[in-house]
Amino acid sequence: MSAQQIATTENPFAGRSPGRRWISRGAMALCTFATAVALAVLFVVLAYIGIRGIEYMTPAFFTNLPLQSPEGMRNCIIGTVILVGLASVLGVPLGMLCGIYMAEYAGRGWFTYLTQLVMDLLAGTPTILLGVIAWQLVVVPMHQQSGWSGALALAFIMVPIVARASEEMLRLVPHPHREASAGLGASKSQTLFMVILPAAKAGIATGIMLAIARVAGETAPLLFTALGNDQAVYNPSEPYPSLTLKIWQYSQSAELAWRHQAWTAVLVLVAMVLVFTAAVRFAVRGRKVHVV
Amino acid sequence: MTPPVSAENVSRANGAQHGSHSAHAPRMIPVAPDQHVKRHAIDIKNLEVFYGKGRAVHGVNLQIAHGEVTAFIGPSGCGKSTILRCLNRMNDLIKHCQVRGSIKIHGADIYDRRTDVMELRKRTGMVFQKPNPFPKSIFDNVAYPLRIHGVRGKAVIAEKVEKSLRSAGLWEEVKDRLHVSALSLSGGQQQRLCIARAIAADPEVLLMDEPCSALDPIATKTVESLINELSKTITIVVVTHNMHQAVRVAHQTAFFYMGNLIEAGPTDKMFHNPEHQQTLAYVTGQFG
Repeated sequence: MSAQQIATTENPFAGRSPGRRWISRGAMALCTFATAVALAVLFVVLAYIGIRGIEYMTPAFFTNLPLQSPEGMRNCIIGTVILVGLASVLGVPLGMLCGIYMAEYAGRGWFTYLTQLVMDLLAGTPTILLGVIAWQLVVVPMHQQSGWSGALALAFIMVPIVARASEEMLRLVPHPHREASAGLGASKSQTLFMVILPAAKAGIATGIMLAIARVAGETAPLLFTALGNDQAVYNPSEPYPSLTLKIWQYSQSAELAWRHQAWTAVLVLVAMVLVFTAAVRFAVRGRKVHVV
Repeated sequence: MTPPVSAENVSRANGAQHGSHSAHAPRMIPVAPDQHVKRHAIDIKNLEVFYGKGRAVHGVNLQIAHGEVTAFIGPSGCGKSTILRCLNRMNDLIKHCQVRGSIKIHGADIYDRRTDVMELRKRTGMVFQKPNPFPKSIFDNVAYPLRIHGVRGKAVIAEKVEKSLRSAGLWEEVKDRLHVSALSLSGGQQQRLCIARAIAADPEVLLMDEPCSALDPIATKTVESLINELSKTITIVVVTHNMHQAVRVAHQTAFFYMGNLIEAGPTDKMFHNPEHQQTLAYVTGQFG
């Protein structure tokens, strides 16, 4: 067969690399496998927590205090909620303002770059170090471990997460929205509050949610700040009860019943974060109904 | 296109001979003897715009008639959009953009230090090249300018929204779904929504920056007839790449090239009997 004949009989669109299809399939399989492994690990962890946690769960866990009989962790559950709430009250506005400043007011200069760098460094700082700072700032002057110091340490962790998430989300809001608003005679703050923030709402809420989920599970920064408390004490000026501290304390105990309680506490903590995350997602989506 | 003779116009013509308007020299929108002198809505003098060190607009003098549609035409990069964006000081938002010269709207220098830019922009609505509705409901989009300018009262806002949507020819299409997202509208509807939004706060001047360039021919036709309708009450300046559009909608046309105003005058004359060779070459499609 001459070259001409081959050219006419073969598919001219066959492509240069006959192995292309196989390479594609191989890459696809690799990606699927990696996803499956990641999901499997997550599933195994969650399933194990679920099985162990439910196994030792009793109604007393939710109603009683640690030193009562039967033992419970009511104060720790409430303590964690309040502690994370206080941390959010401190950290979320600060983080959001920081993000708004970087995205809307500071422009793209060296100062923004420096702030971003500092935020990223802060986000990567070992959290125990932030605990030390909160200890120095609050515990030392007050001569006592307290809920305030614990909340401050957690707020330090939240600020960079919330700030970077807010900044990124605000930058994603298309420029024409800002132009349209300015063109109608809106001031910068009107544009921000009535157009930009509502448009970035869902993304910022996700960032806040991530930050809250993150600090709800923090133990290290609370070790020498909140300290923990076995009583139903919810005054932030005193040592504060927290689920994570209790898990840390009980999980290394020689007492089998305490280690079992720690499993239940882990399950309760994970469930709290899951329920909260789902609720926020639902709420944000609910309000976004008319936005396509 | 020539408006009917009215006592008002005649008296203005007389006034112009004796007083204020004759001072505005050189008059770049020439007034033919058989036409009536109109009050100038916008008076641009020696306008120069710099982006950094580059000069985008070179000393433009132009007067824009009140209650008429004026088209800015010219090839890309000729400065027509830049000049349009000077008229409501949108260029303030661009870093390194510097404006020299003076622009008066209804006699007030808008680049004066005492000018309240937000009030200026309220009084000069702007429609952009691409429809840019907010990710809000149709109603909230049109209500937005009212709310930011302190209009309170649900009934007042609702009435104004309806009026604006009617003026923009959109009311019949959206009256049953005012609370769905504006982003669910088609491109042409979105642009008419943006026009409704731009006229909601009753501006005196409407600036349109290639308002039809992202629209299909049918939507373009709707917007053009809307321009005709609105020009009865508002002074309109429209930047367009489409010369046929200028012919269809504009009473006056200004042709820009390389940051210079080459020629301005009644649209008929600009397209059939321009004074400059460059204008003739552009309107007959020899370049651009």
